[in-house]
Amino acid sequence: MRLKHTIFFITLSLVFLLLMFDSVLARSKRVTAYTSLHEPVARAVFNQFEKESGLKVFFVRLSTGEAVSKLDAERLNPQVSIWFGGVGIGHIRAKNKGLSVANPTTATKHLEPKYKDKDHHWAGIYAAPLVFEYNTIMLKRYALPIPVSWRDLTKSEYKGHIQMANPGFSGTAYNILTTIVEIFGETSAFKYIQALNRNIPMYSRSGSAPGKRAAIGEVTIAIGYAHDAVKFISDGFPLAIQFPAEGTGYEIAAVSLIKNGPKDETENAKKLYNWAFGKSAAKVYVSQSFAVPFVNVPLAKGAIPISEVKTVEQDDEWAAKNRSRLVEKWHNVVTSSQSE
Amino acid sequence: MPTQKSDDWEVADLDLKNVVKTYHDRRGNLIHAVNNFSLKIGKGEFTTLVGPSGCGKTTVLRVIAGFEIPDSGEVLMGGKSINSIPAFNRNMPMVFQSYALFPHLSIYDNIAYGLKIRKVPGNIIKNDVEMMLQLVNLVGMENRYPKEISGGQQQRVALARALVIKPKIILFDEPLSNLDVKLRLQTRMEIKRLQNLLGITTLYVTHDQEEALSMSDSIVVMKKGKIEQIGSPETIYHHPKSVFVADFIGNTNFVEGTIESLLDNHINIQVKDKILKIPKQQATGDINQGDTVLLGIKPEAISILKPGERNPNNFSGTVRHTYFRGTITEFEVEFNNTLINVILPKDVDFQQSFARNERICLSVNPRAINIFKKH
Amino acid sequence: MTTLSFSNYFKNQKITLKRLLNEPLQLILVLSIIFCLGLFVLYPLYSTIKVSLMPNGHFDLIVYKTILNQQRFKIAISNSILLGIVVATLGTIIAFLFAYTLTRIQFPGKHFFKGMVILPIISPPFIFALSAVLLLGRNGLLTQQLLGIENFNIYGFKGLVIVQTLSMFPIGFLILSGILQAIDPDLETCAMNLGAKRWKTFTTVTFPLALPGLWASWLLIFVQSLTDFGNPLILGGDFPVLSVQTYLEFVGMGNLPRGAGLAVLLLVPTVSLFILQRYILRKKSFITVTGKSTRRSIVSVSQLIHVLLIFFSILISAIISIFYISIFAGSFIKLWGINWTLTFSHYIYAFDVGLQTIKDTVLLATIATPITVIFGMVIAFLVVRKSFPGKNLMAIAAVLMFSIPGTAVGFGYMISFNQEPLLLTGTMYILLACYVFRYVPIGIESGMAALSQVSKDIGESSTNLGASSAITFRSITLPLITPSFISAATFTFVKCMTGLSAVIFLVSASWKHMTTLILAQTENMLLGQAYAMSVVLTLIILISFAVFKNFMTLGQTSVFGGISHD
Repeated sequence: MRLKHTIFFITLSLVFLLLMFDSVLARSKRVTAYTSLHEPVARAVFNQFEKESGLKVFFVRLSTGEAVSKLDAERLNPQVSIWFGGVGIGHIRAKNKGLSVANPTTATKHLEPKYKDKDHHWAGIYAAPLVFEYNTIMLKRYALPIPVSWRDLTKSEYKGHIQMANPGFSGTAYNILTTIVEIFGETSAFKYIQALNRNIPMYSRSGSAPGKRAAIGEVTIAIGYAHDAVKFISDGFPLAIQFPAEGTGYEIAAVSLIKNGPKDETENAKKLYNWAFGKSAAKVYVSQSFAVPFVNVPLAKGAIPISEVKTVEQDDEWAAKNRSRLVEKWHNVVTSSQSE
Repeated sequence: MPTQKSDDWEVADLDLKNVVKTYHDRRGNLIHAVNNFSLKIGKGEFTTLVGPSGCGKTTVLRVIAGFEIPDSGEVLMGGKSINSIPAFNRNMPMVFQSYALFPHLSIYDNIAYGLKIRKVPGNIIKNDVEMMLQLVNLVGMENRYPKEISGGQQQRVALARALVIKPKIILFDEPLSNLDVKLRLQTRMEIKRLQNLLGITTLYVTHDQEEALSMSDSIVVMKKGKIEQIGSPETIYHHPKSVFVADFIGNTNFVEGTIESLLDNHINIQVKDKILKIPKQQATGDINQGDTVLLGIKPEAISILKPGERNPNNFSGTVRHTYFRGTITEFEVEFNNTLINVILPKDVDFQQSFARNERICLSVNPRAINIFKKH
Repeated sequence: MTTLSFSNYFKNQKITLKRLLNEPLQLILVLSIIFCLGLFVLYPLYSTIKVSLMPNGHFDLIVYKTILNQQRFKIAISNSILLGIVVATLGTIIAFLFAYTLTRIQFPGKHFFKGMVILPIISPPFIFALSAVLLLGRNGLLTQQLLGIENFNIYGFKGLVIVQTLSMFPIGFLILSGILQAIDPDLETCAMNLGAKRWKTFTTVTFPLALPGLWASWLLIFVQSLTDFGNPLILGGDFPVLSVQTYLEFVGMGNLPRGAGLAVLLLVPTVSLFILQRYILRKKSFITVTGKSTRRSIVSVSQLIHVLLIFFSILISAIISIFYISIFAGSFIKLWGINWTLTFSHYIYAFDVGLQTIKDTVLLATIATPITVIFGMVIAFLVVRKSFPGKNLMAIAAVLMFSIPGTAVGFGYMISFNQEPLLLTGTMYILLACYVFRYVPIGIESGMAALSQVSKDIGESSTNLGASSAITFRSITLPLITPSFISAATFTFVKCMTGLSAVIFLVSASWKHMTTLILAQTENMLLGQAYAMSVVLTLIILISFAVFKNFMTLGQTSVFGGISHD
C-alpha cells in the first residue's frame, strides 16, 4: 500500500513538473495582446503573423469597452503591449486616457486621414457598417414584417424579438447608441432607447453575439456589423440583412500600441502593429470575415464596402469624449424602464 | 407523595411465544439474535433479562416495544396478541440507556410529552407532571434543559416521563450503565422502590448481574438468543443449571475433579488428593463414575481454616493476591494450577492479612458446591 | 469585564507571549502567518473599502449615495435579494426532502443518489446555466423539440431560479443529511414509544432538532445565490443582479470606485450572515454526538410518503442527470438545434486553442492545493493546540475569506497588487495567492475537525517525553490527520479548478482559466466549444475526485457546507 502511494505521488510530481516547464518555456519571444476581433478571426490573424515573424502572440479576447476598462485599470503596470481590433471610438478613448503611444509608421501611409489618428496613436484596419440582421425563418414563423428603419424597431409587434449588446461592454453597441443619438438628437434618442428597450429581452456583453443568436434562431432580429452577418449568410444560416432607411453608423476597427507595455516586447509589438495594415493581414481579414480592409485586396463575395452604404455623419471624437455620460444615461433609462 | 398507584392505573402481563428474530451480518451470514424465545411475565412482576453483549436481550426488548418486527412468534399483552399493533400504540414506555431526553424541550415538556400526545387536558398534565417531579425528587427543575442537569437527574427525568403516562408495562434498557457506581446503587434502589410502590409490570435488561440479583423477582439468563435459565435470584445464584449461568452470576470458581463414586445421597469427587462429599442434588446433568466434572464453588463458600480447626473438606493453596475491599477482603489463591477467588467478611478480631506466596489452609462447604459435567 | 479581569487578561497574554518567545520556530511561524493574512486578506479588503470611500482622493460618500439612489442599482439589489430568498427557500426544501429520504428511508442504490447530489458541488459553477440553454432555450431540446413550447424565456428570473436551485441545493443537502444523521435515533424511537405517530414524531422531534440545520442551509444557499456570478452572467437577461453589476461597473463602465462600492455592498450581507450562521446559530444546536451508533430500524414514514419521497429523489436525480447528459451530448453536436451532425471539432478546438488554458488551470490548481492545505493545517494546529496573543484574531481573519464573495476578493486583489512593491497582476502569483487565501479555510476547517478527534493527550505525551512541537507535529499529529489532509486537498483542488467570480478579474493574456474561457465562448455563442471545455473540466475534476476518494474520510463533506461560493 505504501509503495502504491509513493509511486502515485512521484508520478504526479513528474507530470506537474512537466506542465510547469512547458508553461514557463512558452513565454519568451512573444507579444501579449488584447484583441477585440472575433476569436476565430483573431486566431487566424495571429497565426499568420506568427508564421511570418516567428513571434508567438498571447492574447485575450475582450470586447471594446472591456478592453478600455482593463487597460485603464492596468495603466500602472500594463499587461499587454498592443490592442488589436475593436471599434475606433474605443481607441480614441484609450488615447484620451493616455493609455496608448504614438507610432508614426509608413505602414499607415495609404489610409485616408479620417481612418487614422492624427497623432499616430491608432489606425484603422477596416470599416464596417451597422445593419439589422434577421432570421428569415423566425420572422416568417412569427409573421413579422421586415424592419426597414430605426423607427420600425420600436414597434410593439417586435416585443421580445430584438437583441443588441450592452454599450458599456461592447463597442458595437455603443456605436449603435451614438448612431441613434446622431439620427434623433440626444433627448429624443433616449426616448427612442426607452421604446426600443421594451422589445429587447436581454443585452449581451459581446457585440457580435446578437447576430449569431439571430443566425441560429435564438432571437429574431439583431443589430450588428454587416460583415459578421454576411459571413453567417455565406455559411448557410437563414439570415438576411437590412440597412436602416435613416442611415446607419459604422466602426473603424483599429489597432493601438499600449504605453509602457512589457519591456521586452516593445519591438515585437511594433512589428505586429505595422503588419496589421499590410496586404497579408488584409488577406486574412478577408478570408476569415467579410470585412472590407483599407488595403486593396480581392474581397470576399458578398462583402459590402462602406462606400456603398448610406451612413450618418459620425463624430468619433465626440462619441469618445461623451461615452461615460451616454452609457450611464443608457443604463439608467434601460434599468428603470425594466421595472415597468 | 402517593403511597400507592391510583385505581385507574391497570397493569398487564406479558407473554412471548417462540419469538424468532434474525438478521444478516456483514458477510451475509444469517444470525439468530433471538432464537425461539418464550417467556411469561406476570402482572406487577419485575423480570430481568441478563446476559453478555450480543445475547439478544435488547432485541427481545425492542421486539416487545414494537421497534423490531419478529420473524416469527407472538407477543401477547393481557392475553391479546399485539404483533400487529404499531410501536406508537403499544403503551409500553421504555427507559433508554442514553435516556433519550428531548434536548430541545424543558424537563417539564419532556415529562409532559406522552400526555400531550394523548391529548390530556392541560390542567391535568400540570397536576400529573408535578406529582411525578415529586416522586422522582426533581421539584424545581422543570424549567431546566437536559444538558443543564446531571446524568443521575437525567435518568430520573427519563423514568418520570415513562411513569407519568400510567403504563401497563414499563421497559428498561440498561438504564444505569452510564452512571457512576455510587449513583448506580442509589438509583437502583429508587427504581425498585417505585416499582414496588406502583406495582407496574417491569421488564429490565442489564448485563450487570448484581443489578439483576438485587432488583428482580425473576431473572432470565440469556445466551446467544436463547434462554439458559429462568428463576428467582436465589435459585439462579445457588442452583445454576449450567456452567455458563454459574459463571455469569456471582464469581464462581471452577475446579476440576473426577467422580470417584456415586452413592445414594451424595457423590464422592476426587480433587487432587482429596475426596469431597457433595450432596447429590447439587449435581446437574447426567453424570457417571469416572466422569470429569467442574465444581462450581462460590467465593463465600470457602473459609480460612483457623489454627486448630479441623475440617475434612480442606485444601491448601498459595496466596497470590490480596484485595482489600472495605467490608470484605478478597484473595486470589492458587490451588492445583487454578486461581481461586476467596471472599471473607471482615473479621475485626481475627487477623486476615497474608503475605504474598504464603501458604494457607482453606476449607470449603460442600453444600455450596455445584457439580457440572465437563464437556 | 471588570478592571480585575482586564489585568488578568493582559497578564495571560504576557505569559503566552513569553512562552511563544521561547520557541523560536513557532514564533517565526506565527509572525509570518499573521503577516500573510494581513497582506492577502485584510489589505485587499481595506483597499476596496478605501477606493469606494475615497473616489476622488478625499473621503466622500458619493459612491454609496449614487448606488443607493440610482434606480438601476436599487433594482439590482432588490433582485439579488429576491432571487436569494426564493432560491434559498426552494433549495432548502428540496435539500431537506432529499436528505430525509437518504437518511431515513431504505431503498437500494443510495450511493448513486448521493453521487448525483455531490456532482453539482464539484462542477463548474455555471454548468446548469449552460445546459439550461440547451434544454430550455429558444432551440432547446425540451421546449422546442419535445414539448413544442414557443417563446419560453429561460433568461431572467425564471431561468435563474431553476438553475441556481439545482446547483445550490446540494450544499443544503450536505448540512441537513449531516444533522439528520446526527440526531440520536433513540429520540425518534422514544417519541414513538411514548405514543407519537409518525407525523407527530416528525413535527415534535425530528423537525425541531433539524431546525438549526435548516437555518444554516437557508443562509448558506442565500449567500451563494447572492454571490453567484456565472449563472446570472449567462442567463441574467433583463434581471440584473448585484454580483454582475460589480463586474459591469468596473469592466464595462470603467468606474472603479463604484465597482468597489458594489463589492462592499455585496460583502455586508455575506459576511454578516456568515457570522450569524457560524457563531450564533451554532450555539443553539441541540445535536450532541453520542458516539454510540444505535440502530435505526423502525420505519418512520407511512407507505405513501415512502413512495413519494423515493419518487421525488429519483425525479431530482433524473433532472440533474439530464442537465449533465445534455452538456455531454451538446459537446458532440455541431450546432445544437440547427445542425445535428455529430462532430469532434469542438474537442479538437478545446485541445488546440484551449490547451494552454487547460494546462494553466491544472498547473495553478496543482501548485496551489498543497500550499493551501498545509498552510491551513498549520494554522489549525496553532489555533487548536497552542496559545499566543492574537490567536483568535488570526483564526477569524483566516476564516473570514470564507464569507467574502469572490467578486470582492478578485476586485480587491486586482487593485491592491497593481503597483510596486507588490506587483502581482498578470502573473501566476496573483492567481496563486487568490487560491491560497480564498481556500485556506478548507484546510483550517479540516484540520480543526481532525485535530479535535485526535486527542490532545497524545500530543501532550509526546511533548512530555521531550519532543519539540515540530517533532510532535511531524511524527504524531501529521500521520493521524492525513485522511483529512487528503479530503481538504481534493476539495481545494476542485475549488481552484472551478473558481470564477474572483478569477475573472485576475486572468491575463499570460495566465488563463478554463472557466473564464468557457464563459467567453458562451458569450460569443461558441456553444459547442463551451460544452466541450465544460466536459473536459468536469472530467478532470471527477477523475481527481475519484482517485482521492479512497484516501479520504467521507465525513469531511461537512466542511464543504461552509464554502458557499465559487
